[in-house]
Amino acid sequence: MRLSLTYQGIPIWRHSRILSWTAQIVSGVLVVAAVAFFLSNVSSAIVQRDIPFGFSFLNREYSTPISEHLLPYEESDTFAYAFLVAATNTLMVSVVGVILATALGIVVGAVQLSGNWVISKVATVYVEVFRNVPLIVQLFFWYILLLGLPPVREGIILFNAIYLNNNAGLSFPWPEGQQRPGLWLLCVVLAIALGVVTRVLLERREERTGRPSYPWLGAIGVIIAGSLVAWLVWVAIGDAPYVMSVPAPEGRFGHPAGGYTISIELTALLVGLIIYTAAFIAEIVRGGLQSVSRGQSEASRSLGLGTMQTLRFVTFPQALRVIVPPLISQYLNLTKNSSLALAIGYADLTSVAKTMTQTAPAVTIFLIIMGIYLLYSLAYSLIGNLYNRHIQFTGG
Amino acid sequence: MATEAAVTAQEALDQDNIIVARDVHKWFGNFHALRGVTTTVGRGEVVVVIGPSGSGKSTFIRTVNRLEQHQQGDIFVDGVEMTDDVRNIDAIRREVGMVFQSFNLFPHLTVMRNITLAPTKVRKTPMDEAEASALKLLERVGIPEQAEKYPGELSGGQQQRVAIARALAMNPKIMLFDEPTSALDPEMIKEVLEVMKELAASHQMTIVAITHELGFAREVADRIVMFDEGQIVEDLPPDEFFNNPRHERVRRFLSQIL
Repeated sequence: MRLSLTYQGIPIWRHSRILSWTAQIVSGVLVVAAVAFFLSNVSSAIVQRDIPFGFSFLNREYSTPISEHLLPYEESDTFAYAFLVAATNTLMVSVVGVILATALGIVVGAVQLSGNWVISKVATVYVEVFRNVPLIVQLFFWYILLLGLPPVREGIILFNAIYLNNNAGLSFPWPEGQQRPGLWLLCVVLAIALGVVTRVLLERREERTGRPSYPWLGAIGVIIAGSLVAWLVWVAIGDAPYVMSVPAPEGRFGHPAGGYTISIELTALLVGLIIYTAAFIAEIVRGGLQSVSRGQSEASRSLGLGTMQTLRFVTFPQALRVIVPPLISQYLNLTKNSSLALAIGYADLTSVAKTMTQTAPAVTIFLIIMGIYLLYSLAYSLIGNLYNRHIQFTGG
Repeated sequence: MATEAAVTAQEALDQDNIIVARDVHKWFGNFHALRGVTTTVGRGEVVVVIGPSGSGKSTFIRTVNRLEQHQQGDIFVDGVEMTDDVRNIDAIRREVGMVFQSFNLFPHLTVMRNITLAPTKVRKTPMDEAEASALKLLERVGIPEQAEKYPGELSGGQQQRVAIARALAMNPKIMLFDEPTSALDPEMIKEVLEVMKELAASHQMTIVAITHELGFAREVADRIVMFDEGQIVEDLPPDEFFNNPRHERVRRFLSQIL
């Protein structure tokens, strides 16, 4: 008897759909088997060798100092709360770093394409130098540079308000909440929202009627007026929402008091991350702008649109589609690279976790911080993808 | 119309000539692209420019709205000299429409927005007015139903017709065409030429068109100008150009492309 293994008249070993399904099933089985093998291996090793594992330590007191923290922290706080404090530090570094690196990167990227030969060459040298030296080397460099600063009494003082020295770190003026600052900030947020609406409305009016309506001026006016009115209401009721606190030398050693002070470790970390990442962002921005064909700006210019109008309405919107995806991946890189804080001693998530392993199960601790980093990265990706879809949606 | 090198600045301001070029030179590095181009174009005239590739014809019409800068000689457009004066350049670009070989529509904007962008942002025309006249222009080029589509959804011929409508939306006094049909499939060339013929026949504006569509040239051109090696080698009305060219070079070129 002749075996007929055919489907739809095709021998099954030649049927493309059956082949593809078979490959999927086989690889699926292999992956599941590998994961199961790995997990059972790990769990039996944990049991056999008595490696500490578990989450019960989270409610214990951490009893170890964290040198710098945005959230209030006491040594009597629990491990769980210490994770939150360290994760907040990392989040702060990431957000501040991303904002400043983006601003610097856009400027440097745009400048590289400018007709100004001197500035564009300076920008190119900057990009090539900082892109091609390992980040950890740069972090040590900035840290050593800051360590080399004179002590607090002879340190750098700018405008009698900004202090930079090797023991107190960087101190700068900072608003200090006085009377319901949160509520006032909410008013400012509302004013900004109102300003955005104003801009859109004025822009539509300008397009509809052809009469100049100054949308940007209107928007900024609304924001300033709103914030100012709220401020005056606060003053009328009692106190201003904020007072500007300016650091001033105090005590026997003349350490700056007041304002806001960050350690040289954090300063070095931020400077290093920003300068390093901005070099990559500059290349992304330059590439994005160059990806828009010359014909686009020629068409725009030949219609009589000016340089800035061409950039705003024609070149930049098209460049943005090329820029955003790799930009998001730079944000992820910056966030992940912030773990190098460990090397120069800033209390970020990784360095706190490393210290925790002295008194708590290391495997669990690192699983937890892996989860936190993953969460941050996914959040950036989500925001980036939503924005990307928003700008890609239009256009054929 | 004067092809001799004796055009004066006074003539440049003469109301009859909208484009006056006098001994124009242009180099790209060591390459001498324009080697002393002298010509005038009268108001309402339709001039077809032909010539082998690399002959400088495209470079020349691009100097007329200063997409290229000439390095020697003078160019006057509508009485304004093309210099480095930014205000003059912007003023002239508003009066000179340009249609490119590769369409150069803005891919991120709808057809309607492609057409209304410049009138609303440069001329400050109210949006509803700009949209109404954009729709009229789309009717004129035969595709009013495509207004809300994006350029990527249109055929090449349709895209080029939108590009023509976009240039017309600024009410230009001069229209420059830089090989508008060279990138099109044969069946789409005709629809673009029809639009160009209609424009030429309306005598509303001056037209300078680089094209190797000799049928079009024969039918609508007042003059045919031939470029070769950075110079104008022939400048004649179509009849004479085709039947009785003065230069051997023209005969050879015609035999190559016919």
